[in-house]
Amino acid sequence: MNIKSEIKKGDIILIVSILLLSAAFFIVPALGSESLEVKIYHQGEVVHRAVLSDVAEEYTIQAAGCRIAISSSGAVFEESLCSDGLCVKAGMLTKKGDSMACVPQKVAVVIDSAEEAGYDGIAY
Amino acid sequence: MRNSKKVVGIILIFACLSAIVLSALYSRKHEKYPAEEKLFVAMDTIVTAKLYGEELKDDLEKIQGIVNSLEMTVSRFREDSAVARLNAGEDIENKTVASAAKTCIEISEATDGRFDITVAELSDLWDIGGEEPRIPEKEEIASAVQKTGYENIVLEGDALKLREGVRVDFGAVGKGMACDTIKTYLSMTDIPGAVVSVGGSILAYGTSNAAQDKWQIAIAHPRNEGELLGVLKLEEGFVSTSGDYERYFEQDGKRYHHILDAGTGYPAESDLISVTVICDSGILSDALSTACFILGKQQSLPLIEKYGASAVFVDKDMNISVVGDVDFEY
Repeated sequence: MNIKSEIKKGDIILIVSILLLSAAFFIVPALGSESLEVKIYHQGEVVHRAVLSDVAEEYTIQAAGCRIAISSSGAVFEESLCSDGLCVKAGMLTKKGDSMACVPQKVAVVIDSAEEAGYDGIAY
Repeated sequence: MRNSKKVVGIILIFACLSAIVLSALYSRKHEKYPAEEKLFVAMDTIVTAKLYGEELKDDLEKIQGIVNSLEMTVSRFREDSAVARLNAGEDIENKTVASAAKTCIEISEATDGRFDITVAELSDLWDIGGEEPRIPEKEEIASAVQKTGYENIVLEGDALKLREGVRVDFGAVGKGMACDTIKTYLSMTDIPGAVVSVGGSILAYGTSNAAQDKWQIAIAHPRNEGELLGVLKLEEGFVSTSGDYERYFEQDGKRYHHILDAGTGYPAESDLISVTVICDSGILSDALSTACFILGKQQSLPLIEKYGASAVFVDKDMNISVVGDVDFEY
């Protein structure tokens, strides 16, 4: 009896599909371009977050005495009630790891990966 | 016919089991314990703390309190802080400040005074990272250098005073001190693992939450903003980086960064653009990374060896060299 000839085409398709699905579980996340997220913190709490690719139109957020503009390109402190204005001078935050804090207003803006990073922290 | 069905069945079961095992391995890579995370602004920078464990209570709030409290002690910009009072000419008695000063004086001695916390006058003059950074006149720098010198710190036990006109700035080691204090707190809890960043100075504490059992700490690329230089893998410890890329201004094509050489009064000029130090103390990793950046690679090697530390050096040509017992992938 030839066992090979007895295995139906459907069986093979089913087996290959299961194995491909398993492989896809690992491969697909690695292939996609990295999605960035902006997080705005005030006094240690996240007060706003947005995935940049989901931002269709620029908008602004008021966090304490800071006005922050968010667009699909990144986030920027537009205005702040702080005396030095260093946060405003910092310009647009666009890349993963970019961050800026308005120390007097206790507001921080961080650009992070929307997916889990492959490390625990960044020394800089 | 019955045999062939049996074979198909076995293959199907094998395929399903493979999928289950692979999925289980994938999730194990990511999770040992649940995590809680907090980001807050303190010490003029961003602090992030991520704690792993089954029974986390108000530990993140306590860590925030610890950092705020330390800032109230060592920041020279905080009115009524111990250091502000010291700089104003008061004699103070403070265990935290005295202990930090002792470590800093030790590093100053080892670097012939080129690393020195008595650079407050010089820092104010340059104002790099501040509102109005500028290149001071030579006479101004010479005058400010006269007001530096670790020998002007009078330390007796926990009592400190400064000779007239001298002011200290713990900015080079404050973040590392915060990491040390947080580690002391964590060691009194049952928290199995934590990773804390105080403005880029890192504490990797306890057990990594990943299956590979080592903490993975990336180092920022000193020239390509937003990119990473590589990733350190370590069991536990403190990681600090000093470079010319964090706070600086440019004039006439020249970069003036914030790490001042107390010997010259100017931003340090060595062969390095970034140094990362890994060791078992936060204040030491901070102090050593700054000291090594000022000294340059060759002069730093005895210092790294003396303190049993490891280091990743990046020179001006982007050559990367790793010294000591550390696993760095780049």
